[in-house]
Amino acid sequence: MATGPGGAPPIETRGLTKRFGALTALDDLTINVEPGEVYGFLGPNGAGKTTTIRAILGLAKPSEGSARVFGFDAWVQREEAHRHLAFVPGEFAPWPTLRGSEMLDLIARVHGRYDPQRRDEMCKRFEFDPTRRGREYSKGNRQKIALIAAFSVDAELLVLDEPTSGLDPLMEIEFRACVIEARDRGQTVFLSSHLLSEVEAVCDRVAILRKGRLVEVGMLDDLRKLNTQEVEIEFGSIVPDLSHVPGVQQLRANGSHVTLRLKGAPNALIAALAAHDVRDLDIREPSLEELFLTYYGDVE
Amino acid sequence: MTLSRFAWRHVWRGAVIWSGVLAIIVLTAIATFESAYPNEGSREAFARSIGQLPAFQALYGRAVGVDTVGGFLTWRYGDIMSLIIGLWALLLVTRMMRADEETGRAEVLVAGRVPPRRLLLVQYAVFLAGCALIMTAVTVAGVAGGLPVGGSILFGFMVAAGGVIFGSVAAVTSQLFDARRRAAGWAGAALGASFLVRALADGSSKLHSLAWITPLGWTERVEPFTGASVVPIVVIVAASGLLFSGAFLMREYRDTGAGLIGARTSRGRPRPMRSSLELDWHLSTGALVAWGSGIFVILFVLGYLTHDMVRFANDNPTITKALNRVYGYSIASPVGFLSVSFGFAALLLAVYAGSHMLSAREDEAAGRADTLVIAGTSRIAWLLSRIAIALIAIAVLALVAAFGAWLGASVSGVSVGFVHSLEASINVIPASLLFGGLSVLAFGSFPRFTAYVTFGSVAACYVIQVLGGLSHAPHWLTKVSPFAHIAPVPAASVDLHATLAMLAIALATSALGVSAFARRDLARD
Repeated sequence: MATGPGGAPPIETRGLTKRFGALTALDDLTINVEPGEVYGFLGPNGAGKTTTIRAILGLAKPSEGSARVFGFDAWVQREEAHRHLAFVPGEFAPWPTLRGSEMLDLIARVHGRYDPQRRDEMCKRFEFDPTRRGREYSKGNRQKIALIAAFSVDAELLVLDEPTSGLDPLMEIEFRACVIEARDRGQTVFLSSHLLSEVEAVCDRVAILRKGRLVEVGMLDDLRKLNTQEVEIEFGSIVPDLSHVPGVQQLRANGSHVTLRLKGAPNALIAALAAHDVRDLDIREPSLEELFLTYYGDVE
Repeated sequence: MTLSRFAWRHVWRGAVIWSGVLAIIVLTAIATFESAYPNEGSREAFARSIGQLPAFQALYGRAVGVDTVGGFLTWRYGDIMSLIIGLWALLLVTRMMRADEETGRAEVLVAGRVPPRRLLLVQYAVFLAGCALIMTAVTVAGVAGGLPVGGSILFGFMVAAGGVIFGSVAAVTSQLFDARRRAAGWAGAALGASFLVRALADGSSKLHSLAWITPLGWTERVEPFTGASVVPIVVIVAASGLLFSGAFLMREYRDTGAGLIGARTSRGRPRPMRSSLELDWHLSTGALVAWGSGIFVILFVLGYLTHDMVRFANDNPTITKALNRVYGYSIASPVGFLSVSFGFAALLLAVYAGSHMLSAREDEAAGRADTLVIAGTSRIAWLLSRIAIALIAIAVLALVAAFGAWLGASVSGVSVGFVHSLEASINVIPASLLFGGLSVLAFGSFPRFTAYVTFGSVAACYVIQVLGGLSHAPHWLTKVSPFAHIAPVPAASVDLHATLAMLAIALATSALGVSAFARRDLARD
């Protein structure tokens, strides 16, 4: 199962380009997803992630170039390609009048190869009630239908397009565990996301897309350089000088209020702060767009 | 201001298109009547013959003063135009007031600083502005056609009133139900029932007073060019105001996204479905039952009117003879009238075929097509299964129509024979398939325009065919409409050439549509 049919790579795109009228949504994308890996596809909203995925799934015809799934042309031989993959969209649209269980059953039977036991187990893990009707499910529960369906069919490749939108943090953790288990079963996972933390948690390799172009492909370690945090500190009386603390960048002080960007582990900063009167401390992950501006400038 | 502009985006396109279409119909109808019946004598003869047929009064409304241009226009087009605008209005209002909540779009507004009732009020006001635009267009067309200004204004009001009333009904159903389909379905049922009661009231000599309980009876009683009575206008305005006030009150007692009547609860055992074919069948049964009931009732009523037709023919032998010469078959005989009834059934089946195929576009836009196609249904199989279910459904509806007409006639004491009824019914199937095929072609080639192409072509062709009922209508124009090519079976024999041509077009357009669908991008909205 790991190598897939015919030993061809699970996903391979060559100069994949998609234009909508004058707009180039995707420009000359060439990527190669290896069997058995969890491949992260990272980019801010509107970068062209969904466009790429629709081309890979044979839902949209490339303007130029090609996408192949296990060697099958994604557009011409889409039915063959579909036999080997399962898909979770960013926003799953349920049939309003069908029950959750009916939808899961339908998707599994249309696909043909599925594991009913794993499906029941998935329903429990995601705390999903399959007896309700499509229109009664909340956003997060709609998403769970697609996730459970995808994880319970025997597909060599899972294509996930921002699959965790609407899930609460506990379910997000469950989702990450499922991705790791899928990889351990030998499945290849293509995970598109705009959350650095999500990609960091599960992916072996990452492609970064911005404004329709591939910015970088790297192993997870390469991502570390992106691993910076926005820190805001409110001091009591004395505002110390933090400019010499390792990892501190873009230091700005406004009275007792200090903002800075921290690269790498926060040990040194915490040690430096320990001796001072800290009233409030806020550490957050910067948005991808903020990060990209820092590291890649404005690619026009 | 921003809110009203937001709502206007829903309204303007349809309002502008229908304003144009209705204006053209009014001008064409006036010109056609004037050329077909140029003098007093011919107009009087027309009023005494066709204008007196009870069945035509049932279909088009009470014939008052049809020997004048204004009276004729009101009779032949007023009612059908009110009906079309009513349909437009209920689809539009449920889209504004319910569909936006279903998709969560309205939450963005309501969760902000906009109180839900203000949003409702703005939407209704903008919808009324759309109706006013249509009223203006119809009025201007009437004046341009040489009709008196006062009568033209009232005629514009009569047409737009259908929209105002059923838009208000839809405002209420949008508060009651949490799904747009159900809100539109119930408002549509109200429109159908209103038409039916109006048809009964005008078609049967004993039931005239029933017209006052149906909104389409009120619009008819406006009598813009012949009577101009104030009472129906007051009734229309008051009823619409009351309905909207009801909706406005109800809005306060429900949550955004919910309906006052709860969603259908999850009763019954889950049904296993293994393919898109089984799924489509499962999803089609509800609409099929609703359409089946509606078609049965309408054909039953038309069948029931056979008795009045036959009595009319017996009482007026001279007129009947003249009519038979014009139509080429005995229109007031039991079988002749059966043919007329199924001419109307052809329209209903065509609308069903179109709306069935339109659901393919809805599934694609929502992303449900993606799910099945990626799970392993080929695109062609996905679309063909829907076409297959449409064929079965049309066959079932045709059978139901045949049964309804036969039963109605039998109950009224006239025997037409079930086989005759069935022949008449089967004879109109090819025309409905043709419109289904057009819809598939539109879906395959221009998916975003599927609804416009489907319902636009059905409405345009039906109007053309009604125009064709007048002897001097432009020949080429009538030939465009498939409805004009349906032979009056069983009064006449099947037009084999036309039937085969319609089937061939249905097949060709479907094949082109399916292959175009396989070659284009799937597009979510």
